[in-house]
Amino acid sequence: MPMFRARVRMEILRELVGVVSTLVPEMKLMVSKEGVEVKAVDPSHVAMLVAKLKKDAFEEFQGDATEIGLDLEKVREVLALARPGDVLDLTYDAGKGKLVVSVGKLSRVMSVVDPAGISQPKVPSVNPTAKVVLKIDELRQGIRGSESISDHVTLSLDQDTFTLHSEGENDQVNLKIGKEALTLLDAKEPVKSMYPLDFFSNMVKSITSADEVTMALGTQYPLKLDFTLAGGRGDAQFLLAPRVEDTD
Amino acid sequence: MSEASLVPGRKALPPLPGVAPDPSLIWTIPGLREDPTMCLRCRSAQLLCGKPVCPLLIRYNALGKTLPMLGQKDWDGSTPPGIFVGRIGYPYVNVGPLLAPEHGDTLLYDTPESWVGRPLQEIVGYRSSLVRGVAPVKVTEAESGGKLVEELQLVSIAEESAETEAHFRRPPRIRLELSDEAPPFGASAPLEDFEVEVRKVDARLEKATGDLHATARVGVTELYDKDVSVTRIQRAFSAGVLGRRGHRKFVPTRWSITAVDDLLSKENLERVRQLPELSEFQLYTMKALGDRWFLLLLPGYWRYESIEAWYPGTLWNPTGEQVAMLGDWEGNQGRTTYAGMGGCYYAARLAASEHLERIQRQAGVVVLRETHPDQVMPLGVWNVREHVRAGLQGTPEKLATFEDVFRRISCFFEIPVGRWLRQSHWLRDWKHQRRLDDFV
Repeated sequence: MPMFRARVRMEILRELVGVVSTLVPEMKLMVSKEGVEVKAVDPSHVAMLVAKLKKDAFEEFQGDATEIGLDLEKVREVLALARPGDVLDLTYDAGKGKLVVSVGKLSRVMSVVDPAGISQPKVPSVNPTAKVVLKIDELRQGIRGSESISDHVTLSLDQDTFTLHSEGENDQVNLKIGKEALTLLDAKEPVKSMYPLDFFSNMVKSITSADEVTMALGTQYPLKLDFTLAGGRGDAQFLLAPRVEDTD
Repeated sequence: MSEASLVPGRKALPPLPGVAPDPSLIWTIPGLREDPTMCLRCRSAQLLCGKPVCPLLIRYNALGKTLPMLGQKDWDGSTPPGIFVGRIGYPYVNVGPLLAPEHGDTLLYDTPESWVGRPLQEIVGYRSSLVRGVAPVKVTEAESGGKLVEELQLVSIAEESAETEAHFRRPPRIRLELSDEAPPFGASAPLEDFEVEVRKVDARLEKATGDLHATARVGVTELYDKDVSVTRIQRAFSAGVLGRRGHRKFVPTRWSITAVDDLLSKENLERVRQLPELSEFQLYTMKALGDRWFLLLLPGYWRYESIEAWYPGTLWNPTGEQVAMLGDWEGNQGRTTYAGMGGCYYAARLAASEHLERIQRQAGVVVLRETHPDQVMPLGVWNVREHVRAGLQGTPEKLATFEDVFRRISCFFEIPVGRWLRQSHWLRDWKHQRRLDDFV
């Protein structure tokens, strides 16, 4: 019987669950000796996620190669019982198909979902040409500004500037950040793509521990959004397909 | 998620040919000139125009008064069976039986499932000839009982029409209630005394009523699984005979219809989301009672949208200048807020979810409805549920590309395809949103 037993700070598990929840209600947790990994694609195949937590992101970690299907709502219910800084204890009983999650004196025995029923995405090899690293707070502000006026945003990069632009019927929002205020800007030629705001916004809002994100984009091309989890002891990448507006 | 706007753009356009504007309404309803969707959004429920009573209803009430008056205080006839639970003053509401002006089998008067294919006048006739006896109750009296409550609840689970005798405090007055949630009603009068002789109850409903431990949700779902019609389930639900002991209440007819449509479609969709995805566009169309229905299945996962367009001169869009469009949509996991367009959204969603279970596929469903002025009366949510159900019974036309869909919309509707596209979340999404698979 494969085994999985781990102790993890609630903030770390909560962020993983939050990030995955932006796309799907259930996740397949792929456990290995090195840590855990989750891949998810939303039903419309517009957005995708690969997230990894290394074993040193956990207080304690013992795992054999196995897959555990989890209903994220149930995990959120247990997390809601934990206080900041609490450490959760996870024990998987493969024989009974149960995951026991304990926090303090309380433990919840959770039936798992058949992992075969959770679709596993083929991650496309997407290679955008331009890249920017920026403060997530600035990105959040641009998203907040856009939400009331449109359901999509345009991201563009040129040699000196990152721009987030959103346009409604009458109003516009522009967030412009010059090279000097960015951690990194690498755009040999200008690129520009439009993305659905609901996905983009939920993705960015789900990031709770990283200070910076890396965005790679092209023209009418998928977005790659990279960030760290658990203070660098894990990482995650979202992919988001573009929206193509034509003139008619 | 809700969108309401003018057609086609912000500026007023000249009236469409063949439709005479009614300038008197523009003057009598403040704000309507500036916002032609106001009446459509309000539907007399919110009095957005600021008048104490709905001007449109007055117009129809006047029409009602021309019908022959019913002079008597004593009534005997049968109940289809049918009951009414009002919503004004909730939790203190009016409840009462629906009474037909004849004896014997009047089932058809309150069975919208059987109305598809019948002419408009006949359908309006069923409901407007039913007299509503009303008595005030608090909704929680559904459990504490009393003679009238018990008799009404018996009517609510009756299998066939039942003979009644009613005594009113004054003769029934005719007042047409216009609502998109409930079918039109006829006269009403305060009930003084009510006797009913129910010979046969629906055994399935009786059993559900006797279960004091199942929640109303469970009760409703089980009845549906036993093929009890939505009308019967909704009638029992509104009479407060389902649910756990201590939780049973009268539910206003309007609310109960939408609550049942919402609940049942959610249950169906839990299963639909597990089904294999449809791989092509399928189109069903239907024309009935002044409505044109364009029922489109999109390839892929479950998602849903419903848009209604009211032609100038129809009830909720009386100014006669512009088409008013209103729509709502939801993604794969459903929605958490009430759809602004109201009960029709949920009624069509129920019909759609039933269809997907039948064909054992999940797909996107887009319901487009263009209402023309020959629909002189609002007919109730049943009109949407039953016509979408009926429309989806046909043989679908399979369309290879989105361009084909585009062309079919152009041919089928008066409203230009570009306007539908601008209103529709999921059609726009299909046209503009790329999938990651496109980049593999």
